[in-house]
Amino acid sequence: MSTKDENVRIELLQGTLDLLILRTLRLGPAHGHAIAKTIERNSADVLQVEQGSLYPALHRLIKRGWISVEEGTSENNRRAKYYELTAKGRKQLTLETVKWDKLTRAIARILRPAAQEGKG
Amino acid sequence: MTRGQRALENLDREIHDHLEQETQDNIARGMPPQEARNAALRAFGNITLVKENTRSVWVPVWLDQIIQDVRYGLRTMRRSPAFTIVSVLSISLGIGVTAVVFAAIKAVLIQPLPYLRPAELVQLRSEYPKMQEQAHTDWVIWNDTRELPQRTRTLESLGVWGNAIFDLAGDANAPPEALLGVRMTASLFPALGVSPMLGRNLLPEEDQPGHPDVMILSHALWVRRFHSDRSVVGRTVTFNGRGCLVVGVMPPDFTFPLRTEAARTPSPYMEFWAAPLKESPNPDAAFRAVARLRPGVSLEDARQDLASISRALAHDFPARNRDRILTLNFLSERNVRSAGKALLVLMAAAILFMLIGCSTVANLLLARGLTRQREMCTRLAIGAGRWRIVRQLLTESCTLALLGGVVGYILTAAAWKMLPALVPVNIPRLASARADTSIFEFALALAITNGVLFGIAPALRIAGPDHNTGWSGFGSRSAASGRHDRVRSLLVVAEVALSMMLVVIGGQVMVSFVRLITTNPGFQADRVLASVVLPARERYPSPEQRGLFYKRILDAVRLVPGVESVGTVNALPFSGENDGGWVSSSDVPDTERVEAEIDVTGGEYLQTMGIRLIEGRWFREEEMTEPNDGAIVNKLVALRLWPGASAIGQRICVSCTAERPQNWKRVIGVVSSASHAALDEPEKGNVYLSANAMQKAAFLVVRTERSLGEMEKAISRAVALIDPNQPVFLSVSMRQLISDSVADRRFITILLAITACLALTMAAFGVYGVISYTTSSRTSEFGIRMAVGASPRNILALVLRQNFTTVATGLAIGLALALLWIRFMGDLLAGLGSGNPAFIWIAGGLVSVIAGFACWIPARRATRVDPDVALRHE
Repeated sequence: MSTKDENVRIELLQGTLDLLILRTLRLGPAHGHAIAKTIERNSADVLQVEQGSLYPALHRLIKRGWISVEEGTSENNRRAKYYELTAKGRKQLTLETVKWDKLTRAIARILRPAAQEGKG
Repeated sequence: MTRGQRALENLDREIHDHLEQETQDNIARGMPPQEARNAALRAFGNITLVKENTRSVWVPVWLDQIIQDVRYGLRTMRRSPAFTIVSVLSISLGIGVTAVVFAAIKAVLIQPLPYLRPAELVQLRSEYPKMQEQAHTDWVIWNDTRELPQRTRTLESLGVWGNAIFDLAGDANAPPEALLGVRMTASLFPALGVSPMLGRNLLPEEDQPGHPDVMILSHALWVRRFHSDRSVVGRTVTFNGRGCLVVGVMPPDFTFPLRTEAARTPSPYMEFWAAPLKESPNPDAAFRAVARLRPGVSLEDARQDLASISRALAHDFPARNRDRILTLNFLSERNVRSAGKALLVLMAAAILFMLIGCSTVANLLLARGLTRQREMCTRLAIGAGRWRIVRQLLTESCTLALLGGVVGYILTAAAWKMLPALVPVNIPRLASARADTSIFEFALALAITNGVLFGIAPALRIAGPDHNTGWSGFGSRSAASGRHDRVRSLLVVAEVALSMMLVVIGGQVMVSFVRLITTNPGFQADRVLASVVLPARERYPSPEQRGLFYKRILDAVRLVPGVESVGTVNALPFSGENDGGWVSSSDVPDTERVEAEIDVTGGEYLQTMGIRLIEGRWFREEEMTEPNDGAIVNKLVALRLWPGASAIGQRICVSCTAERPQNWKRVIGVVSSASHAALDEPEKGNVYLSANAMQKAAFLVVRTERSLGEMEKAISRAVALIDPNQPVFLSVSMRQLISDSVADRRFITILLAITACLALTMAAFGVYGVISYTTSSRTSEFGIRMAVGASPRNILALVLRQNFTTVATGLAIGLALALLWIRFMGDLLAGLGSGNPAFIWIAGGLVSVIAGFACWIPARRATRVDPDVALRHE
């Protein structure tokens, strides 16, 4: 049962996709497909991202000025759009990461109070 | 290709590349191509949804939907051109009328005066707290203006001025010309915060006595007489036969003072500003004064300050300041006077008219909504939200309204192309009203308001909760629900009530205007020509010289063929000139005084004007040149001073005060009363004197059978033979002068009457439209009624009864509101007071008859229904 549990893919929480994109782009500019692949790979395929939902999110981030887009050439020599983190986006990422950490810690404390106490 | 399309194409390509790459990856992992492709598509998700979601990031959804709705609305409009034309016309008329009035309000009331920090500018004024009626014009005496600056703690930079007429010498290209302008102290322009476009302001020493004359030209005069020659600044020009140094030219948009009276003058606007106020002015001479409130000082503070200064002045100068207090008003307010109220009333009327247009269109939309109900039901059935449908319908009505707004703006622009030529000069700045961008924005804002106003009820109705009727009533137009009829009845009531209000108020104003212009001025205005001949003091310095000159003119004009009689006067009625004072029968202080207009007349002035002699005799020819104490008074003076006794031979003291006690005259005649300043003024005393008439004459009046144009030329020739440098101006019939004096009220009345007529027409068509629509939708009902034995008379009675109840409700409400309005608004403009109450009933009757017709015609048609046809109607 537990093994089965681990195989279930988890749907993304609202808004976390933006965070994941920003985090992915910190490694360097990437095109849409590469971003999707990176997220899937890095989450060990646990996180279920419908690849298409990446695009509205990317455009939303452009509009907010957190990422920029540039025309470039992909590894197999095709024209592609490369997304890149802006300075503003970098700041936002730090901010969001801190927030995320706080949130997860808080939730963890509520969900597993015994574990916390046991450790303490 | 638009930016949006290009972005979409880019997105398409990106998605395509993405899928391609995913497919390649899958193939690389060993999937067969078809399966790889399918897996890629699965992993990607719904492509259309992705595109739509991405698009909504670029363009907000609501905006996108509005654009869609507008497009759809425009298509619908194209499909029913008759509906579109009628609606757009109704809306554009309403918006047009309102925007025309708004442009006027903006020019007259909203636009700040064209001077520096105009909100601080005040105009000084004298009032006599003991007298009932205060002067219309604002004046102070020269001595006040000398004392004030040293005593005030609330005012700064006082500017003093008075009207002046200068003769500009003629040359080879232009005849001699009289110019209207201003004599002022050097402090006036600094007080207003203005300076010339060319040259400089007057220097403080230039308004001192003995300094050579200097003047600043208006832009218009500079262009007209000096051909925009810049070198005129610094040159000496001959005015009044004397050299006068031109030191500056004002910018084209400058004028001061603004025109507030209809008086005929050589030109409607000031053409020069000159110093000095001549020889050291008489301390008692009347001038006008503007000043600036010190920063932070309120009008009330300044009034209190002036009141205490008035008390001090009354103590220091009893002869000049006893019983008289100084006060002040904002310059802007003194320039607008009653025109402000009239314009606001016009605005109210225009808005009422616009509301009639709104209810007409709302009714049309309701009627059309029935035919569109099936469309809406389909939309609701396939999942459109009710709010979404209301929004769509509102967008459609706003699109319609915006179209109307644009057409309305075009109407406004056209109206204001034409109107400036017709506006009265005595509503200051009205002629400068234009349909500019702010008026365009105003029209669009009105349009949106209109669109929501007339669109909301139909939209809620159509998208309303009982939308099932749309299906159950399929194929049956008679299924119009009761609630539908209620909304429609309400709109009819509103339309009828609004038009009733407008017609009664408009008619009221029209009737009182007609009554005003048909008021007997007390003299025979027809066939009397008035001209101004003002001998310049520079060329005729002594009173004797002026007297001799005028006597020669009088004698010469008497000989002009066609002249029946000629007279002269120092202040002509309706010319803007007056010489007010009082008379009493004794010089003991505090005896009864009768306020009177005191005029010095020469020649056969009274006979020429057609004033009737009641008792005694006219002046004799020799009395106007020889010293004498003859006076002619009107019957009001005679009745008040010597009730029950004959006035002839009685002594009167003219404008006597404790300091000037002995101005005795003897009454030789009693005449009928004549108005002097305005048709609506209460009867006042008239006193006519004759001594030194030739020396004081300024106006020449001529009674003639010949055309006034010919007579004007003949008079000018006669004067030119005596002095070729003497300008003659004004030259207008007395009838015209009277007409000019009510020009502001005529303008307002005409606009109001036009609005009322349009309102009546629109309401009539609106009511007719609704009733004929509802009646025709009941055709099959009437068919059944007639089939079971109802006579055409029964049907007629039925339809009339049902519809006229609605209309009568509207009539009653409208009449009640109109009466309330008339009761509480009081006089619209001086002299346009409450009219004949009988007229209110006539106006009410007119609206009722027209509304009755609008009910009767469709009812008549209903009776002609052939039952057989009617039953097969649908």
